[in-house]
Amino acid sequence: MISAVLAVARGAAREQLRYPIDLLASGGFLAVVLFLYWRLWTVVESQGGLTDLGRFDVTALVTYLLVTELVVLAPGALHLQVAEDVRSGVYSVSLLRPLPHAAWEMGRALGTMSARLLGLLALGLPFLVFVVGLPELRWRDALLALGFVLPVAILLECAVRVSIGLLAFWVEDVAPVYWIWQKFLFVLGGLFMPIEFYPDWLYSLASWLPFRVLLHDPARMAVGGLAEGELVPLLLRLLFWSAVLFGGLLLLERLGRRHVQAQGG
Amino acid sequence: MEHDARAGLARWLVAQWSASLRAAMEFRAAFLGQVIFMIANNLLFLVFWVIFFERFEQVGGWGLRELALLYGVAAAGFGLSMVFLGGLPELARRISQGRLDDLLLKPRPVLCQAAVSKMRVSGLGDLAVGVGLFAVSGHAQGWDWLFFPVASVIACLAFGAFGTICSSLAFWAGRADTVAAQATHALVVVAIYPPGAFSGWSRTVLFLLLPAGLMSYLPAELLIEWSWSQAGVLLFGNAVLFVLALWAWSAGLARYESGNLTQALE
Repeated sequence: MISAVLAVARGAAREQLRYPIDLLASGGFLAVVLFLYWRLWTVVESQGGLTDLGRFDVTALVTYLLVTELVVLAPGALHLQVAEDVRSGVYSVSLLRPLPHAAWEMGRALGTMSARLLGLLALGLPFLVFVVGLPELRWRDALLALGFVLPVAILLECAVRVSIGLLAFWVEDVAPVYWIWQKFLFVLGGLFMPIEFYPDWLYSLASWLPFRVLLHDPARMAVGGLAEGELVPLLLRLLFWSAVLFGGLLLLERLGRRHVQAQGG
Repeated sequence: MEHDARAGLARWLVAQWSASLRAAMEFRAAFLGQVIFMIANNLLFLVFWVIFFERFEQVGGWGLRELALLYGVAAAGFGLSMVFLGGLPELARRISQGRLDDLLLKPRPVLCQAAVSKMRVSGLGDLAVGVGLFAVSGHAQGWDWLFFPVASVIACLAFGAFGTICSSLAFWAGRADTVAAQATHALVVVAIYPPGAFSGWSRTVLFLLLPAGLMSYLPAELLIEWSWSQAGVLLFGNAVLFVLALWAWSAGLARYESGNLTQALE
């Protein structure tokens, strides 16, 4: 099954790579966002606002943003693709494949995100390195974050978007559901700044929810590094929410399949 | 004669919009859902700024109240464009797929037809948030209530003109829908960030490459403190943007090639 999923991923990646300008456009958008925050944090720093933020200076905050934006931007509009497949009937045809539909979707997500990551990094990384500068990194934590925690976080976000797309079995338009998920992710996941900067009550709330696993944890680990004893709780959180979110995807797919009506033709 | 043509176009536009609104309201639950979810979407995003300004107080003289005003102008302008020019986000794809044929056959300006071909009712949620934020920003006094609608319409037209320029790339580049979508998305994102973060060259870049200055910064600054010279810059800048959009569209349309899909898709 793994080789079949990888074959789907290769196909999806090739499809994305056929349109390099589209991929670079996403990278251009990322560069604009990095530029915005680079200016914003620079002004805040010049006003003395970053003095009590520990290891986080302007370069660290922009690098943090680069990592969180990768999670948000790499999956693309998967939810809309899945919803369109459900509405148009392509979903029912996909059931004929010798591969569980959820696995096929995750293969497509894997390929899409891999190709989109190339486009995002093609412009985002040079901007960071040549314009903003690289922060001081703790290399062991950074490599573990970028090599394992970040890819898992992106796959989890893909699973959520596929799940939102599957809601098309029940609702006419899934976009509003995605908007709300996205904004909770932005705020409670710490898209723009680490959640440690939040007021205590909001930090406590964010700690109990899945959003921080997707954004804050990989970015914080890559940029700020982990304190003694933080690694195991982080990996356990990741494992727990992976089980919940992938489990939710499988459950939604099973429930949605009951709505499929194949009428031939 | 020309006056009659303009009056006819205005009547046709009103008829298009009212028909689109009636069609959208046929599905009451979906209609209300889109509006309510968009309001919630905006308010959730504002939570970030509340947290940000609670910690950092102000950025280059822009605090939470000023940001509410800026966000209000941008949201109202964006909302208006989604409601009244809701076909623009699909324009690049329509061009690249050669699906302008049916519009070319009708005796109305093609760009107008494409722009009003769809109404995105979620824009009403943006509009409601925009007006609400303006009202609570502390900058809504007296004449401001008259200028705010003008500022919102200017923001709408600036967004529409920029969207037209980006979409017109499809006449030359073929598939340009992602580029157009990312560029207009970038404009919206930039338009809701405190301009106090930008000065000198970075401010110029934002005014020239992404006209966020014309969409939200200048209108918001005028609502905070009126200045005739700033108002002149706003009007002149938007006039240039508008002319550029019309030029890009006209030059592109002359290169348009049909996809012969009229019967299949329309």
